[in-house]
Amino acid sequence: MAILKLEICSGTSCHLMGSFDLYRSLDFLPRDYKEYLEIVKVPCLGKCGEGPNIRLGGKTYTYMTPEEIKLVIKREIDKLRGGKDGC
Amino acid sequence: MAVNRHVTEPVKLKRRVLTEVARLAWQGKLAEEIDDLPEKLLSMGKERYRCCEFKEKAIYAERIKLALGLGQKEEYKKKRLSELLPKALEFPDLADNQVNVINVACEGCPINKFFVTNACQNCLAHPCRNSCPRDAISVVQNQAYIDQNRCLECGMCKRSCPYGAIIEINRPCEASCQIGAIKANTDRKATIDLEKCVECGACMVGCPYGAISDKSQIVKVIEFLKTEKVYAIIAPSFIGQLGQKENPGPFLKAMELLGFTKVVEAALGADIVALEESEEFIHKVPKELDFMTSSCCPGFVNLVDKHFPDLKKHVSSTVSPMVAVAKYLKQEDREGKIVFIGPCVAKKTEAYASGVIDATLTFEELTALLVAKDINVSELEATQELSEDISRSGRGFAEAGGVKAALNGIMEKSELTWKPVNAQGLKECSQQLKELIRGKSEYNFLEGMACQGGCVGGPGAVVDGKFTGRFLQKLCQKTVREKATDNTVAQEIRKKLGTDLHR
Ligand code: FES
Repeated sequence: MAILKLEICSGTSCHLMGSFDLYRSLDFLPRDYKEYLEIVKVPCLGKCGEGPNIRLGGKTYTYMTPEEIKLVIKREIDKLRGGKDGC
Repeated sequence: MAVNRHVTEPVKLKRRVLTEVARLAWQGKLAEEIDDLPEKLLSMGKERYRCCEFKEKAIYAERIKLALGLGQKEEYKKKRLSELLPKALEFPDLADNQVNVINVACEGCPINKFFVTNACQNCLAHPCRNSCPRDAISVVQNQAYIDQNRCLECGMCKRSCPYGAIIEINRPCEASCQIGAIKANTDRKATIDLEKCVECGACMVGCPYGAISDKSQIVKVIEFLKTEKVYAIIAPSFIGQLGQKENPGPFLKAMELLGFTKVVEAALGADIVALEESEEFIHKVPKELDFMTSSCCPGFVNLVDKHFPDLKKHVSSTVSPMVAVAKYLKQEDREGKIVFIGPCVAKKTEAYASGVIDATLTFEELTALLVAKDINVSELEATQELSEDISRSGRGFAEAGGVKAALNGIMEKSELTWKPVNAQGLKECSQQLKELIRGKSEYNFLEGMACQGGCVGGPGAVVDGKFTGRFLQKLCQKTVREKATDNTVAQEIRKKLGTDLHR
C-alpha cells in the first residue's frame, strides 16, 4: 500500500495559528484514510506567515483549517487509490 | 470542562495583529509603519471576513489600538494610528477595564430570543400556541411563527413543543458572561457594565466575531526587553503553551532568547501563599470568621468585591502567588523590571494595582512576541530546567481544586475543623458564596476560580485547558517535592516578606 507522508508544522508561528487543532482534527478522519498516512511533526515549513501549514506528499498547503486538512487528505488519498475503492 | 477551544478565524486575526505590532516594535519601526499596518493585515490570511475592505480596515485599526494598549475611547476615534502613537507609548490606559468591545466589529447579533426552526411540523395540537400567554404565535406558511413584538420571552412555547422545534437564542457574549455584565445597547451593540464586570475574559472567548478583546502591553514589554533588566514571573499553566508538551526546557530557552534575565515560576509564590494562607485560616476560623475564601484568582476577588461586598472580609488577606514572587524579586533588585506572564486578563489589573509588577502579558501575547522576533521554539536545543525547590502542590494551583489540595496537604495535621470546597466558573462561585451567606454551607473554606478548569482554562492561553491540564499533571509527576512545607526556599522568603504578604 502506498503511504502518504503528512508533515504538520509545529513551529511557533504555526502553533500560534492553530497547528494543534489540525492534529486534533485528524482524530475524526476515517480509519481507511488514516492508514495511508504517515504523520510527522516538523519544526518549520518555511512559510511562517501563512500558517498553519502542512506538507502532504511533498506539496505544501498554507492557511490550513481543521476542515480543509481533511478535505485535502481525502482528495489526495482518493487519487492514490485511483478512485477504485474510494468511498 | 467547557467545550473545546479552537483557534478560530477571529482568534487568528487577533494573533496576527499582536504579532505584527510586536514585529514593528522589535524593529523600532512603529512610528514609520503603523499607518500601513491595516492594509498589510488585510493582505494576510486567505479569507475576507467582512462585507467590505473599509470595514475590515477599520476593525484592524481598532485591534491595533488595543494591541498598543489603548482603550476604546471616544478621543481616539478618527485619528491616524501614527498620530495616536506618542500618546500610546505613555501607556495611559493600562490600569483597568482590560476587556473592551470593539464597536465596529460587533455584529449586533439578533436579540429575538425564541425562534421556530424548520423542525416545526405544524402539528394538530399546537401546544406552542396554546401555551403562549400573549397569543404571539400564529401559523405562517405551514409553520409556527412568533410575533416578536408580542413575545414576552417566557419560554413556554419552547418547553411545550413536542419536537423541540423552538429554540432559545442568546447572544454569545451574554451567554458566556455568567454574571450578567454584558448587554446589548439600544443600537444592539454589546456594552460591558463596568460595575459588574470582573474581567474574567469569558466574553472574549465567547464572541464568534472576536469583537471583544483585551488591551495588550506587548509594546511596553518589548521596550523593557530592549533596555532594562527584566524578570519574568510565569504562571504554572505555562507548561505546553508554546507547543512543547510537558517539556519546560524550550519555554525557558525561549524566554532567555527574548532577553529575560531570569524566569521565576509563580508556583514558588503558590508555595509561599499556601503556607501563609493556611496559617491565616488557623488564626481566623472559627474565632473571627465562620469561613474564609482564597484570594489568588483576581476574577474571583473582583466577584466578591463587586457582587458580594458584605463578604469582603472573608476573602483571605494573603496576596496572590504572583504578587508574593514580585515582592520578593523587588526586594532582591529594586531596579529590575518585573513582567507577569499568564493565561489571565484580570491579572493585568491586579498586577497594575499591586505597584510591584511593571507589565503583564498573556501566553498568547508572549507567543506573538516570539513569532515577531523570529524565534521558533521547535528548533531550540534546550537544557534549561525548572527550579527543584518548588512543590507539586504549588504547580497544582493552575487547576481548579489546586489551592484546596495544597492547603489540604498542610491542614490535615491541624486539629481544627477544615472543610474545604472549590468552585470553578463565576456561576459556581456565586452559588457557593450565596450558600455561605445563608449559613447553609457545610464548608468553611472556599477556593474560587473564575475560569472553567481553573487558570489552565484562562482566556489568554494558547493551548486548550484540557491539554494543559494533562501536561501539568505529567510535569507534577516529575516534581520531587510534594507540598509547600517541603519547599525550604519558600519558607525563607515567607519569613523575609512577613506582613508584606498581606493586602
Ligand atoms: S513555523 Fe510553520 S512554516 Fe515556519
